[in-house]
Amino acid sequence: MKFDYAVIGAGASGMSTAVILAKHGYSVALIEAAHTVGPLLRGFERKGIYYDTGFHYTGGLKKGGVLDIFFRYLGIMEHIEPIPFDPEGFDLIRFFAPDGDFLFPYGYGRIRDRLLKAFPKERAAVDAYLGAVKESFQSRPYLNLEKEFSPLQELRSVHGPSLKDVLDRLSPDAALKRILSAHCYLHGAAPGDVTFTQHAVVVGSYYESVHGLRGGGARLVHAFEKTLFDHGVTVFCGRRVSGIDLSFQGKPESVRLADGEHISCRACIVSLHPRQMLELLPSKRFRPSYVRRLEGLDETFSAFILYGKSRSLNQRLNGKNIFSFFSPAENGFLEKGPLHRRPLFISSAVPKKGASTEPGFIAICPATLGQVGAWLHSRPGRRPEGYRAFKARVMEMLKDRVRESCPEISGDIEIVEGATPLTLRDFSRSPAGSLYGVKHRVGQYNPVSLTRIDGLYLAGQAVVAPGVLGAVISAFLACGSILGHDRLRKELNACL
Amino acid sequence: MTDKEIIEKINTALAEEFELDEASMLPEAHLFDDLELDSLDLVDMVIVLEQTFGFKIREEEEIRSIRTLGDIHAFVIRKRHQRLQSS
Repeated sequence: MKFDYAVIGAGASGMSTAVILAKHGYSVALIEAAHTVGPLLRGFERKGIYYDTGFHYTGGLKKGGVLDIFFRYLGIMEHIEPIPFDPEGFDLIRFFAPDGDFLFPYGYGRIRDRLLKAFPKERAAVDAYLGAVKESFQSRPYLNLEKEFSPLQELRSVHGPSLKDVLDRLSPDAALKRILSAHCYLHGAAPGDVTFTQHAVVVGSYYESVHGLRGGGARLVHAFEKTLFDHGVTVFCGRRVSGIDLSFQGKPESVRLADGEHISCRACIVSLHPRQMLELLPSKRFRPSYVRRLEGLDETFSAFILYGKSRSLNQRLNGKNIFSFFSPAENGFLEKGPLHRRPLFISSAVPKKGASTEPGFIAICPATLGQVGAWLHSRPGRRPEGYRAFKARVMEMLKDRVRESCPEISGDIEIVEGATPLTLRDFSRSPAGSLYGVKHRVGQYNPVSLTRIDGLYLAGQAVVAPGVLGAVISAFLACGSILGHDRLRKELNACL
Repeated sequence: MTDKEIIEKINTALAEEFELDEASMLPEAHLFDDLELDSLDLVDMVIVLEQTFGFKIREEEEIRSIRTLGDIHAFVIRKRHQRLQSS
C-alpha cells in the first residue's frame, strides 16, 4: 500500500502529527521501533503501583488553555480526565540550608501574591518577571493562535538574554532567584544556559494552570490510540526504520525497515532525535553546515531515578511535587558533584486500581551519562555486576536523600525500581540518555520543521520545547509546513 | 581587516560550508536563483558568519531582506564597523 505520509516515531509528537494529517483525509503510516506506541509516555507498573515515566504534570490543560485546544482538536480530550493540582501550591520548593519551604501556586495573581508575601521588598522584580514571562509566552506562534509563524524568528531570542541575565538584572535576592529558576528542571537547561524566552515558553503554561491525568501517561497513550484508530492511521509497531529512500527527484518515496520491508509514501515526517534523522539519509543530501549543526546539538541533563514506595507517605504529597535544593545560594544546575548536594524532584505515584499497597513516589536526581561511563557498551538485561552494584549504591543514597529532604516520606522506604542515565539512553532512545532530549540554549540554533529535502519534515521536542505541550506544538509546526499555518490556526481557533 | 579581506573570508567560509563554486560567487549572485541556496540555508549562513567573525546576529529583518552575496558582504562590513565604533 502506498501512503500519503509516513511518520517515523510514535511519541507524543509523532502520534499528533499522524492524527493531524489523517484528519485532513490523507493516508498515514505511523512507524514505531518499540512494541507499542508512546513507549515513554506509557509508564510502567511494579508491585501494584503505576509509575509515570514520560508524563508527570502539565500546563495548558485548563478549559481554553493551549493544550486543551490541541487535545480537543486531536480528539483526545474526550478520552482523558485531567485532575487539577492544588491552585494554592502545585510545587513545593524546599531549601535545606537554611531550611525553608516555598509553595508555588498557579494563576498569575496567586503567584504574585505568594512571591510578594515571601519577598515584600522585591515587588518591582516580581512584577517585571511575571510580566515578561506572560509577554514571551504570548509572543509564540501556536501558543498564541493570533501570532504568525516565521522561520527566522529565533534570531531575535537565541542569543539571550538568559533566564539568569534577566533575574540578575531584576533582583539581588538569591532565594527569590532560586525559586524562579526551580522550574528549569521542567526543560533541562540551567538558568544561565536557557534563553529567557524559552524558559517562559515552558513555565508560562504552568503559571496558568497545572493538571495531572487520572491514570497518568498510560491513559494519555490510550487516548492517542483511540484517536489514531478513529482517524484510520495505520500503525506499525516493533518495526525499526533503517533508512528513507529518495526518488529520482530527491523526494522521499519509501521508508525502509530493518526487516527489509518498504513502506511507500510521498512525504515523511521524522519525530526522532535530529541526529537520528541524519542516519536515515545519505549524508550528501544535507549541507555540511547543517550536518555539523545537528551533530553538535547540546543535550539536556540525564538522571538517576528512584521508584519507591512507603507506608508513611502522607497525603501532603498528593497534589504536589517537591523540588528539594541544598541551598538557595547555589544557583548552579547541579547534575555533577556529590549526590547529597544535587537537587531532587519528588512526585507521587498511585497504586493501581484495586491493588492494596502503600503509596509510591518517584525521586529524580540530575546526572550525566559520563557518571555511568564505565558501562556505556552494556545493554539492558546484560549489565555487568559492577554496574548493578553501583546502581544499587546510588539507589540507597537516593533513598537517604529522600528521607532527609522529605519528612512527608519517612521511615520505611522500599526501593521498587531504579533508573540511571544508561536506562534512559536505552529505553527512551535518547543518544545521551538525556531527560528532555536536545537542549534549547543560548546561542544554539535548534532545527526547524522544514528540511532541505522536499517532503521531509522534522517534529519532536528538539524543534520547539520539551514536554507533551512542546511535542504537540512541534507536530502542529510540521503539519503547518505541509498544510499551511493559516489553515491550521483557523481550524484550531474553531476549537476555542 | 580590509573590506576586501572580509569579502574573501566570507566567500571562503560560505564556499566550504555550502559547497559552492568560488567562481560563481560574484557580489551580484542571487542566493536563491544563482547559488541555489534556499531560505532554510539562511539560519546556517547566520551560524557560519557568527563563527567566522565572532559576533552575534540578532537582526532578523536585515537577514530576511538579504538577496545577493553582495548583501551579505555589505551586512558583515556594516556590522564590523558598528562593532569597531562601539568598542
